[in-house]
Amino acid sequence: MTEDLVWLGLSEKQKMATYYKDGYFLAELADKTTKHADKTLIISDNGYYYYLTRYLIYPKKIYWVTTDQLATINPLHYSDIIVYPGKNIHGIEKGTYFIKEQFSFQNNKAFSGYLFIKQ
Amino acid sequence: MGILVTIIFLCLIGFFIIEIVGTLKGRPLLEKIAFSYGIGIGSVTLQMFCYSLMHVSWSREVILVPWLFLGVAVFLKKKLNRKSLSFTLPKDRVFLFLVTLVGLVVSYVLFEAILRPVPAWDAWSNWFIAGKAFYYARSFDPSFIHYVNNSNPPLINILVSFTYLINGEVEQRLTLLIFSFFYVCILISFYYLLRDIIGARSAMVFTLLLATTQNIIRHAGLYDVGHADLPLGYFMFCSVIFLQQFLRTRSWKYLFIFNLFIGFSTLVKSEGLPFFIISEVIVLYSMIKNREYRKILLILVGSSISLFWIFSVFVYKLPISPFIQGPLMLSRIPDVFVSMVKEFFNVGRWNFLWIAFFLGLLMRKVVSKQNIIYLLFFLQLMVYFSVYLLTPREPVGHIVGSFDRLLLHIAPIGFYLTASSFGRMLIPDTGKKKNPKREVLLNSIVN
Repeated sequence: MTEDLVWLGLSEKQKMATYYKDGYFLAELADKTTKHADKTLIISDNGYYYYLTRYLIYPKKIYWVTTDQLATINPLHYSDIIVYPGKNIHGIEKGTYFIKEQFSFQNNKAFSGYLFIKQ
Repeated sequence: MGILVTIIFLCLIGFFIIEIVGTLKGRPLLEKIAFSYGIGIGSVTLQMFCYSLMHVSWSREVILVPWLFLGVAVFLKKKLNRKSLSFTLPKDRVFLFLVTLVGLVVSYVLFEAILRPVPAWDAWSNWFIAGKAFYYARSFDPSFIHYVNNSNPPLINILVSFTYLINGEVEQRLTLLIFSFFYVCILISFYYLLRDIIGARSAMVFTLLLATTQNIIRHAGLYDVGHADLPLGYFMFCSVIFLQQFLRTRSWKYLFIFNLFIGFSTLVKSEGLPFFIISEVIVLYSMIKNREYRKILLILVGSSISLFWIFSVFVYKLPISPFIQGPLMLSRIPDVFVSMVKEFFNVGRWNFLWIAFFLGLLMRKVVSKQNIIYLLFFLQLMVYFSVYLLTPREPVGHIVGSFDRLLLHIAPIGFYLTASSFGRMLIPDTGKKKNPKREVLLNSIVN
């Protein structure tokens, strides 16, 4: 019960950041990066990030593949690609089509990934 | 405040329908509210779904105005029984103590429900995102269903959209209270059902036991699990209540309300469909046996609600459940049986509910073939058993992760049967003469 009381003093955003942790920051990043009609791809081996982001930023559309399924997709079909948690995935750049950026949340290297934005 | 208004609207709509049908005359207001909530939700879902098929965009006015007319008709044509609207507090101190305990548990659950952001995976992947999508589209949007590859019926999604519509915004966290109110309604209907059979004090003891069952609290307020299982449990439980009343009284009014509840249960989750079929077959058999051929038409009410959704699945080519595919794998029977039995003894989730349930079953002198509710319970359990023989997933892991949710659908019914079995053993209400009506009811259920 005492643990519960901590939640009372938090704002909506603080609650989401506390509860969803890096999932919330990832959704914020996806929201800021993408425009309404964009098709964003999340590459992650954890469905948590995909489902939470898809929910939080709807009506913007998000698609998902795991790293095992990478060979089945054409990265050029997507306007943005987020790789999280960070793994240096080769083959997405496809020449100079994408600008690649590394990001991390709350200056924590454990919460880092890659963002590919179509030029 | 907006959530409270939503709940009041839903209860009012259901209340108007109950009053128009003329069921539950003279019954307490609280009991009517408990049933009104589900009928209101189901009716609004059907209405909003019909609007979508007719390309009518959802708005507060377009949804609420028809019900306003119905409400006016109820107040003009029917004299509301003022006695049934009044509420008197009993003087029995033990009873009041029990009520206080139930009130404390409910308060805790409601408090927990609104503390955190929407926590469950199911909510993000399905219930709440669909509610949001339909709210933005102001319609049931099949293209969204294809986008998220969702095979669930629409009631919960549309309920979430309705809540957002009434509120005028996507209010995610407080909308969770809509789901907690199912818990409150289960407790109320459970208490009044039992009160007529085993007396007020004993009924409140069992209501407290139901209210404190850990898995029920988890689904009613913590929401780290699903959102639709407790609502389905509510609709199935209410169906059983009205089925029993119909079998006892043979009144078409109970049959009608039963058909509403059982029809709506098929719109909550796909597990409602087998329950619907089993129940309707039992009702049909009973009507043919009693030569009540005209009443068979009322089955069309439930059937049309159910077929409405099935028809839409085919028209819009919506996805179907991924769990029911392929042939029955009979070699799984021992593993599935053992894993399911283990869940019944999971005291951490169910307290001693299922142990008491089976003890109550064993203690019965004669397991009568006419005891319809037990039959329904076990047939539904058999359906769940067979799903695990069909599912493409590895069954033991699947049972560990999902069977507690399936059991939740039939938990209120299980509790009711347990309470009926043990009802005679509890201390009878003091200072009260035996109620002959109650004795008849008890005998009809226990024997």
